[in-house]
Amino acid sequence: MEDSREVTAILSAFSQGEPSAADRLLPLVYEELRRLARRRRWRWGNRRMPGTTCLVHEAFVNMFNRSHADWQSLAHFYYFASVAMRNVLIDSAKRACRQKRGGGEGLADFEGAGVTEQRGAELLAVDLALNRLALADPRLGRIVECRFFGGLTIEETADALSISPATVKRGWDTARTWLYKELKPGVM
Amino acid sequence: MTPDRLARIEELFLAAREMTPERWESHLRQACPESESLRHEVLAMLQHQDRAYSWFEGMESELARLTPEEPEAAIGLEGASIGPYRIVRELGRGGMGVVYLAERVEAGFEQRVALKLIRGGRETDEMLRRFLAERRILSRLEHPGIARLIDGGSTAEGRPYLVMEYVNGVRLIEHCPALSVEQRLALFLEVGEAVEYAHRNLVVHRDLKPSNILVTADGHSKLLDFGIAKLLGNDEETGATRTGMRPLTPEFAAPEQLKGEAITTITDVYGLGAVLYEMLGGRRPFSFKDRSWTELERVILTEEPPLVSHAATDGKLRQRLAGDLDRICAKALEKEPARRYQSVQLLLEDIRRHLRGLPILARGNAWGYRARKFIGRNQVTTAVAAMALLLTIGFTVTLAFQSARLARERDKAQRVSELFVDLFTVADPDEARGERITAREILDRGIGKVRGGLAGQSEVKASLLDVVGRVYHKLGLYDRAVPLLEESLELRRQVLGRENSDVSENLHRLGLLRLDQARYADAVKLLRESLAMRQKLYGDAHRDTARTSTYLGLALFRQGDKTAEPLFRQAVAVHRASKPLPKLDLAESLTGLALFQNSRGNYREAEDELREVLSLQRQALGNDHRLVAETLNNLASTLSRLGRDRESEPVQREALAILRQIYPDGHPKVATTLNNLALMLMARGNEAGAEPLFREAIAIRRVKLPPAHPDLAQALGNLGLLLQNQGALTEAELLHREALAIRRQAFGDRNLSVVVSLGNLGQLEQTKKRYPEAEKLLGEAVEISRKLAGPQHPLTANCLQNLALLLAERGTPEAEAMFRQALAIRRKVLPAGHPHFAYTLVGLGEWLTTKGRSLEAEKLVREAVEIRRKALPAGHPLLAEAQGALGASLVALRRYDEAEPLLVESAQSFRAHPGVSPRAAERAAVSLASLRNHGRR
Repeated sequence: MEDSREVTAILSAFSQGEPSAADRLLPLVYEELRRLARRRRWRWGNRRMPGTTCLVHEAFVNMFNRSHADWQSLAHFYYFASVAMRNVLIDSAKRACRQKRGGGEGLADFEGAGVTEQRGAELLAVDLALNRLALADPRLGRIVECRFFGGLTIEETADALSISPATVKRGWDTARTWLYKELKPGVM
Repeated sequence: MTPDRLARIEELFLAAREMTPERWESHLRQACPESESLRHEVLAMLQHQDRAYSWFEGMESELARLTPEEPEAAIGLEGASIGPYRIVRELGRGGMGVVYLAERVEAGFEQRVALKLIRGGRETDEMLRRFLAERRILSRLEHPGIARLIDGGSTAEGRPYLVMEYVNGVRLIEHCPALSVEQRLALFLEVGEAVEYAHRNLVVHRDLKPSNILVTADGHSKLLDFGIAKLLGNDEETGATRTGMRPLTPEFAAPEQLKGEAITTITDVYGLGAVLYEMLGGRRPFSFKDRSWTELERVILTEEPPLVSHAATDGKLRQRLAGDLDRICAKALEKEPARRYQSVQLLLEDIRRHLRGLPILARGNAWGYRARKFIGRNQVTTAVAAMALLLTIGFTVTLAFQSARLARERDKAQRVSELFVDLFTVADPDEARGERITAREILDRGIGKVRGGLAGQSEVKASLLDVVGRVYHKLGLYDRAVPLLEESLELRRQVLGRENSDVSENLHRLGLLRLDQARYADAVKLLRESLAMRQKLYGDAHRDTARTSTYLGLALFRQGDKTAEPLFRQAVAVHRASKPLPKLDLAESLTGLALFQNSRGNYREAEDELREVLSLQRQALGNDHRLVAETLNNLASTLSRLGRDRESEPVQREALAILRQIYPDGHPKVATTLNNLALMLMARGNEAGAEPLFREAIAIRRVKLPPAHPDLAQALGNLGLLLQNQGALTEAELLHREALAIRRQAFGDRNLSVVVSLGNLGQLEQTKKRYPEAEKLLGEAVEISRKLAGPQHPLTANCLQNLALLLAERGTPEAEAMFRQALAIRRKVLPAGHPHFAYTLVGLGEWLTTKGRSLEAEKLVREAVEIRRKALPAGHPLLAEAQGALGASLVALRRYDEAEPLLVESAQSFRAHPGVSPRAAERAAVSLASLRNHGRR
């Protein structure tokens, strides 16, 4: 595939610590992602859907053609894919909020990837609170990225972060309740 | 918010949420008297847990909707063939997939089967392989009450399928209304016996529910889908998650399945309880129409189901069920596995007792109730009942009987204890076939009974607590062992006085445990106390005194205390003089001495001692014992330090093979071996081989060690370095930061292992061009190392070199002096040709080349190339780096013909490792370009 060289370059930038690379990546793999979604019958309805990140992952793998080893570890990849999803969603949320305020650059939303304005505001709040959480405990932050933004299961999160499932479960519970408390001013 | 505060919040929150809400406040006041705001914050979290979870769930499903959704199309397969089977018609569909009636015609013989085609998902090779392995276990289940698993495989498209005995029958629940309560119970007993049979074969059903049970035309029950849940990977103890694999049938899921806790045979007791409940009451214990997942989870985890007699609509039936059957159902459906019947057998036993009019166990020890049952039956029956009661209560009674003997005969008590230890230790690694019914479960259950019972028998209680504590220790469950050993120590002090041989032994054991937990200061304190007591009670020349000396030495050694040496030597002397020779004790004290010698750099002496240890242990224990593996590990690391890697690797691998065999589920010791082996592979340039070993070591250490253990930091740092070398900087940074945090927590800010982390992180920041951060970190490392390790220490040379590389990259003139300092230290302490030289040589050489002093540079860099060519495989990026540097100096000297092959090879190596050392790759490319440019002119 023609795009694959570009994808490789962007991923390499990403791995060099350039987080915005993920934003450039998603548009490139988006069509591939939709095609996959049509082909595979992932279903959220009965909760067997393996999470958005999975699709993103497959898209990556397809574009890569398994050509190189920078992303050897699937589990490792899941974490990055979750971070990528976080960026995409937060951007989408920002756009949703901007449009409401009449600003905006008229950038077309991903079809179906748009977030409603209210959810958008909530997502941004989660994002900010998550930054604070991650500052105090990076591991909790990573767990939230995988579970919440990446849609990974406990097991997949455990693999992605090389920690035990029990730790993920405990961490996820702590992080959710803590974040919720931060987000809802009425709680405290 | 600070890390400390968050850690405290997490700790308080996780502990308190296990309690009932009314206890939260009082618990927090007790556990956290120091801060009201902290208590307030945790309380808010506790009170809003449910809302938090459902809020997140709402958000998650919103996010998930961003993925297009398509229903699974009905697949018309009638007449199609799957493997050797021909599909006749669809029988039904469920969460896992579609079930077809199929037939196999072979040599004129026609076999009808149920073929279950598993819903499409992500079938990896790994999953299929596991699927096949599990299938073999299940196909061994042969019982008239269980529909057999006949075959299985995967379709041409790779979807797995299972072939099961086809049962032509009606659903259990539809069959029940026509039966009397006695007939229903008899039928239930049949179901239960089939489950019990499977449990004896170490298979747990996990998805027991009425729809999985059919009744055949002749009135017998058949269980379908036995163990299938596990086969399909729905077993993962933690798989019961929100977005992932839920238990197949949530309404029948046991609380521990929802909580993602261990699934055991007692989980099936719950499932059977739910089946019994519906058979008798005509209704499910819980009904969940239109309830959300959160709601469902809350109900299953917190609400008691109504009594089964209340569920029945018929008045007469209601009366019949009230009493025994209410209690039996309730006990089977307890939320806490520990409060349920502890086996299917016990549940069935109670039903049989009920049918025979005997007192049921679910009543517990209510004397009034038993007296009521006593009336109207003859004494023989009562005696039998009492016996049966005693036998079935099992563990407690056995303990109580034995405890009576314990109290009388102390030497026998010793033997009983040892028997226990043996029993449980053997039970652990070997019995993990099929389903895990581990010693740990037996212990967890047993210890509750030991703690609750045995009032007034403190000494016996102390022995049992001690025994179980030791077993936990042996199983690596340190956190569980500590309170037991402490309790036992406390009891013994109360009963036996403060100075007593049992008390000293208890102190000794607790010290060993603390040692394994890496809580060295605690260990030293305990072992010192034990040693002093033993010197007083037995004298210096006693074996037990010497044993404690050895371990006190070890604890001190771990703290870096040099006074360890005389303790080891004293112990060695005592053991050598004892007759018969205590081989293992001697081996232990020699090991301590060898570790000490290693730390002083006396590797030759260490090697001799370790070889003696190995021979002693092999004589006493055979070739494949855990201790032998540990000694092999120690020997391997000594050989590596002597530069004899080629000898060391097979030694290491032998150790790993032994340990994996002993601890199939991982153990800190397996992790240590993995880590050492990986380090050696890494040093020899085999990074691909090293990475999975590091990851496995980390995974084990995270699970099996207490949080923030320095060993975890070490493995994290190693993997971080490896990934850093490979250019995976983001993950490397996460790892280094975590390692640094752990080390600071464990040792404080000023410590040599903190220096190592600072160095790693500093280099990483440098790679990311975050120079001020890098300089701060690397400078701090130099400063701490100079002060703690000394200005001439190899570690200080390392730190200096790192800082020099940074300064060189930024063009700061101080770089050169710093390189030379590092090089001087290294020349003094390391043998010629040591790989560490190469780093400094390359750095200094490149610096000199850029300063126009290429002639000096060439000499240094050539040495680096030689060193790396010897140490690393061809094409390794580090070799490429040195070749690039040499090429660059030669280009500067206009020796193009010599430069070209070096630069070409270097560029090729870098191309094969994209993203690795990008700057070195760039430099090599630039040199090559300038060479080619020149050539064109």
